Amino acid sequence: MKISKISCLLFNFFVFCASLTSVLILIQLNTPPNTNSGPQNGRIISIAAGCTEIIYAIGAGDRLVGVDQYSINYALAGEMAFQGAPGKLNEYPREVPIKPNVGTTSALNLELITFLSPSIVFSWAWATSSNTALEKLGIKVIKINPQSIADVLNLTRTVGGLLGKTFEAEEVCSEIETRINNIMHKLENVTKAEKPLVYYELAALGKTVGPGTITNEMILTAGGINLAENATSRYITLTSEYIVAKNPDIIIVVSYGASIAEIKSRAGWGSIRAVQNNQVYQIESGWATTSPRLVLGIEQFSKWFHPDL
Amino acid sequence: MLFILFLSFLLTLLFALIVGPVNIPPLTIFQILFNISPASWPPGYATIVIDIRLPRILLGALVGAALAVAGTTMQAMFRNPMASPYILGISSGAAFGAGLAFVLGLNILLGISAVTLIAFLFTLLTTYLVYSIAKGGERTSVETLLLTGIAVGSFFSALVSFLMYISGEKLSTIWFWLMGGLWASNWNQVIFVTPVILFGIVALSLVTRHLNLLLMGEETALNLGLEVETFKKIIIVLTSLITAAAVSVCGIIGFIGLIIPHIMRIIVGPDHRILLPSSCLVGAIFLVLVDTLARTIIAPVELPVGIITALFGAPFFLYLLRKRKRMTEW
Repeated sequence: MKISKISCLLFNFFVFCASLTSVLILIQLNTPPNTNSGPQNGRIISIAAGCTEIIYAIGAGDRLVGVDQYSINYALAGEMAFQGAPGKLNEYPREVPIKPNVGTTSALNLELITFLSPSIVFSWAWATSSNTALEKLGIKVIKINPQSIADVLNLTRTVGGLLGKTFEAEEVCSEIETRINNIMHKLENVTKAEKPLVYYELAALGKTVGPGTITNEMILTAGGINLAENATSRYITLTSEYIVAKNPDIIIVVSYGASIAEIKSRAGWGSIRAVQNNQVYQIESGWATTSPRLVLGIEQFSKWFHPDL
Repeated sequence: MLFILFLSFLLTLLFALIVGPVNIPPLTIFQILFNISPASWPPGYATIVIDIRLPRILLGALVGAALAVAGTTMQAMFRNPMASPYILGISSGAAFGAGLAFVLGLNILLGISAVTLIAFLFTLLTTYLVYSIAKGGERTSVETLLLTGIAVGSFFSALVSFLMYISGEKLSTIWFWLMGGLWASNWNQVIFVTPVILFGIVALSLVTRHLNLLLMGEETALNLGLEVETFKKIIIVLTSLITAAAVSVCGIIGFIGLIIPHIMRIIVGPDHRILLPSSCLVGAIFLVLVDTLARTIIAPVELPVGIITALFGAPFFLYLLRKRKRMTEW
């Protein structure tokens, strides 16, 4: 009796192992060849999507030997999302999806990262568990935490300096600065009363950006007023009632959020000026984060806010 | 039986060491382990085997064993098949501690990860809280303990939800931690949890006879000379200790503590003298295997191990359950 139970258990165990092995064989076929191991040749990895974009913009994308899942997700938005971006970002959507994927900051593939032997890993400063794990393995981690347009420009220059692309980084920065200045120049004579009130929605109803976020700064730069500009924290969730009462002129929803049709059909939202005047828009999420593509976002915002300028 | 399980355990460790997202020949792994002809392998390989795979596998084994033993003991004490290591609300307490460390951006405290340390302390704190609230005069009834655990757990769950709500970009980090995972294992964690878990398991395996007495009901156990109240207190302290150690290093891995004891009860019967050590070994085997899957199944991306434990374990358990038709007494 007992023997049959044991053999049943062992049998299950071996079936388990066998299925594992077949999975592993498949994986091993996809493992990249081991060339250039050791921290040389300036091999780099970025697990901070904004930084991956900066690296591409300054023309150092070929040195990236690994990227995180989010860098790839941004690339999957397609070529359109990168058209007109500063620097060499146009190569991003084509090349990044085929780079080795090292996971996310919440669960890194440390083994693969070690195997890829980067000399530097770019990571978010807040991803403490990832950064500690990497540093324990003796990997040099550059921690970034850009919060504003100025931070993105500074970071671009820093990364340019680190990767020997000082000149290219300067070019990218001056292009961003020139394009933003052009918009601000046009807005010089716009009075506060002419600036639209903008409600910017993230993943859920009422979830929006407060002061201190780059999106808030972008809305301001593009000649709008952020509905939550006086909020007490950087990210907050407003009630539906409050938004209706504030009556925003323009509603912008991020591309991974609700659909425009859903927003228009929400109970009570029919009375909002933005809905009545058909000024509900969707923005590509990669255009409103801490990456060089923020300039595309600002340009798009200003077209929506001040179409006649 | 135990010998076979122990053999399977060793085989599992070996198997887990050989496979991974990076393909390293078994011979090279052997050479790395015993430091034979160091020049013959690429430098990154030694790091992968010694600093990534080995601590991860050892931690998986320790955590799996701890959760299975804690589950077995809790089920005996509560005489309830739904009991698990988390029954006293300690998983929510641990989650709150970890969430706090993430939100405050704490990094390293006293040489180990702040998340580990704070989660560990909050787990013990929660147990203490639950026990002191439930304690009433001479006797602490298991029903009161159970309900107190549920209430305190819900309270901490609410706090965790609140932390997640205000956490901004750290949300995904907390969320992943809640699902459990061994990806960030390192030697410091192994050094931290090994003494705690080994002490707890050894101590609990010395009282298996008393656990059997407890199964007959508290009155009977008392009549047979067991100091039930003191014994319960000891059990709560020991199980909390090993659960706290397990949870603090790898987040909340569900299923193992609940189902492995049941599976083993179906296979070896309800006698704790066999049930406890075999649950311990099978818990270790199961988590190491499942974690191997987690790091390879959709490689190079990691899957949280908590997802796979139930995904593979639940159907197997249901199969055993149906084959048995009836549950033996716990």
